[in-house]
Amino acid sequence: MIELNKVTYTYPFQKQPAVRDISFSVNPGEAVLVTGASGCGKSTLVRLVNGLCPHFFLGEFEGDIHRNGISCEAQTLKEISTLVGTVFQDPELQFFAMNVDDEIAFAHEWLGKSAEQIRNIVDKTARRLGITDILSASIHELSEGQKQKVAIGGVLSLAPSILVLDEPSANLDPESTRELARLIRELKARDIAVLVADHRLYWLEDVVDRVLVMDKGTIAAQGNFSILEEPECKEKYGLRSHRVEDVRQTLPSLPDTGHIHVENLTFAHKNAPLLYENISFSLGKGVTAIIGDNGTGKTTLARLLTGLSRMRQGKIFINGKPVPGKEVLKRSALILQNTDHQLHMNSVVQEIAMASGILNPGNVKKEGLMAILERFGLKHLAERHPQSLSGGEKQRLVIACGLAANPDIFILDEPTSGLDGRNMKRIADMIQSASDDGISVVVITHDLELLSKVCDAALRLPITARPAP
Amino acid sequence: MHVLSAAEPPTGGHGFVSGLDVRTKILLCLSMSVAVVFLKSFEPLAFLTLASLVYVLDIGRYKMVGMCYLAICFMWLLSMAFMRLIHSMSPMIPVTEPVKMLVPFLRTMVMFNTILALALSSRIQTLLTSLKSFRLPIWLYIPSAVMIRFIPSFIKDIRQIYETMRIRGYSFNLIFILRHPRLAVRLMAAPILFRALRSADDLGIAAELKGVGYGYSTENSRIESYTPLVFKFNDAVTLVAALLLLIAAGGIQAVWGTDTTGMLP
Repeated sequence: MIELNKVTYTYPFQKQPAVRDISFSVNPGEAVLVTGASGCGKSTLVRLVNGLCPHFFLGEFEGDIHRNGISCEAQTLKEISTLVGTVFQDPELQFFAMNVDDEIAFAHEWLGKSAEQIRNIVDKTARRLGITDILSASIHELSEGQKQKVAIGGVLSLAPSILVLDEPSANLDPESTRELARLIRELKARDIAVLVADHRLYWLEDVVDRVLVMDKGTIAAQGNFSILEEPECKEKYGLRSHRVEDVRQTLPSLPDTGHIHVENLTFAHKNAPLLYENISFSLGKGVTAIIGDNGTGKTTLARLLTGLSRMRQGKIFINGKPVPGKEVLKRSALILQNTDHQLHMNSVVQEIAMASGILNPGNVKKEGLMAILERFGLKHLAERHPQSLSGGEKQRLVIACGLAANPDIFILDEPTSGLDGRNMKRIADMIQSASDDGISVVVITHDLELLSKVCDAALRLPITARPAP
Repeated sequence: MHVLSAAEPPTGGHGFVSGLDVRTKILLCLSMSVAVVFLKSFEPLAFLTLASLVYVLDIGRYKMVGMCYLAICFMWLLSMAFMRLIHSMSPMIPVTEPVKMLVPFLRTMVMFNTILALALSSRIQTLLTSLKSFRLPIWLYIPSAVMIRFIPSFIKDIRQIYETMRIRGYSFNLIFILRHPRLAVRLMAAPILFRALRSADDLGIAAELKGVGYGYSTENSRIESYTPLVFKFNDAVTLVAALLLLIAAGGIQAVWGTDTTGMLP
C-alpha cells in the first residue's frame, strides 16, 4: 500500500514546487491512474512514489509518504526499491543486459542469490508472463510490447508490493496495450498496488479503480473513470480522449492514382528473403497511414519512399514523372521517432535555418525563418536551445524543420508518442495543414486517436503484388 | 561487426577462434597489449603481427581485415611522406628508415588483430557474462558493463544521426567535413552528447531502482553470473601457445632485436 499525505516537493535550484499538497493512497489490489497535461507534475508524483524524489533528485520535501505502513523517513532508496517496482516509458533504457534471461537475472545477481535460485526465478517469471520462448533472445530483437513485458518481468521477479508504470502505453501497438491491460488486472488480483501515469486513457477504462487528474502540480480532479467522460475536463486539463475508435480496418484503401506513384517495388534486406516483391501503389495528397504488424516493414517502406534505402527494383513517380533515388531524398522529409537525434544547433531559429538548407545560420535573414516559426507556434521559443524544449515543443520543431524544406512526401514515424491531448491535437493540426498545402503525408503510428483524427487512407502491410495501373 | 549482435551465433562461423572462451580472448588482448609495450624492435613485433594475423584470419572476415590493414598501410605511408617533408624543410631532422618507421604500426597491428578477433567472434552478452565471472568490484563492473551494453545503441544512434543529416540534404563526407569542420562536429556531437547525458541519467535511475549494490553492501562482495562460463581444452592450448609465442618474441628481441622505438633513427 502507498499513502501520500500533504506532500509538497521542490526540485533543487527551483523556486516553485513541482507538486503541492498532494494526498492520496493506492491500496493493495487497486490500480490508480494519474493523468494530466505535460508538465502537470505527473512524473514528479511517480518519482515520489518510487523514492527517486527526494532520494535521487534531492530537493525540498514536505509531508509524509508511507509504503506498506513504513514512513519514508525511515527508508533508504535501496529499501524502497525492494517494495516498489518501476517500469519506464522506454523499457530498453532500463536494461543492463543484452539477453532477456540475463536481464531478469540481473537484479538477483546483485542480491547475492545462488545460480540455482536465480534460474528458478527466471523460469518462474518467464512462465508467469508468457515469455519463455524469448528468454534467450536479444533485447534488440524484441517488439516494444515484448520489451515492456521483459521490463515488468524483471521488476515483478523482485516481488514488489507496489508497481509504478510511467507512460506504459506510449510505444505500444493497440494489441500490446490490450495485453498490458490484462496483465495489470492480473496483478491487481494478486494484491499488488498499481499506479499508472499515462496520457493515453482509452485502454484503462476497465483497468483502473480511480483517476487523479493533475494540473499545475496539484490534484485538480479525482474520481472514477467516468470523470474523464466530461468534455470540460478533457478541454480544461488538455487530456486525450477516454474512448477511441479503432479505424485501422475502416480507413479507405489507397486510390488507384495519386500524386506519388510507386511501381514494381522489390526489396529485401541483406541476406534476407524478399520483403516486397513487385508491388505498386499510389499515394494521394491527403494523409496516409501505414498500418501493419511488427516486422511487416513499415519503417523500411518509409525509408524506401524517402530514398534513404535503395530499392532492388522499382520506380517512384512524383506528379507523373519518374524521380531517381537521390532526387527522391531531396524531395522528401522523414521525421524519426527520436527527436533528440534530429536537433543539432544552438537555437530553435538556427535549427530551422539548417533545415532550410542554410549552412551558415549566422548570415541568414531572420524574417523568413520567423515566419515559419510563427506558423508552427514556435516564434516565442526562437532563441531557446532546442534540447531544452519540452517533448511536445521538440516534436513540433522537428516537424517544422521537415516542412521548411518544402517536401513532396512527408513521412512521420510515431509523431505523437508520449504527448498529451493538447500537443497531440497541435501535431494533428500541423499534419492536416501540410496535407492541405498539397503534400503527400504518410504517418506510421500506433496512436489510434491520431489515426482517427487525421488519416484519410491506409496502406496496409503486407502488400500483395498487383500490377501497375 | 559481430559485436553488434547479442543473440546470433558468431558470424565468424564455427572456427577455432569462435569456439574459444571470451575470457581467453580477453586475456590474449591484455597479454599482447603488455608485450607490445616491452618489445621495441621490428623483428619480434613482425613475428607477433604474423602470429596474430593467423589468429584473426581464422574468423574468416578477410575483407574487413584487409580494409583495416590497408588503412594502417596508408597511415604508415603518410607518416613517411610527412617525415620526408619535415626533412626537406629542416635537413637537421634525419629521415627514419621505412622498416624502423613500421615499428609503431606493428604494435597497432598486433593489438588490432587480437581485439578484432575478440569483437568479431564474441557476443556482447557473453562479454558481459565474462566480466561478471572476473568477479570485478561494483565500481569497475557497472561502468564496463554499461559501456559494452551500449555499443549497439551507440552505433544505432550514430546511424540515425547520419540519416537525419542525409534527410536534411547534407552529405557527411570528407569534403563536407573539410569545408565545414565546426558544423560537422556540431551535427554529429550535439545529439550524441545529449543522448549520452540522458542515457547516463536513465541508467543511474534504473540501477538505483533495481537495487544494484544492495547485496554488495550486505551479504555479497562481488557480482557473480548465474550462467557460468567453462574453460575448454582449446582455451588451455591457446593460452599455452600464446605464452610460447611471447617467450619466442622475447627471445627474438634479445638475440636479433635492435634498440629502437621506431620513432628515432
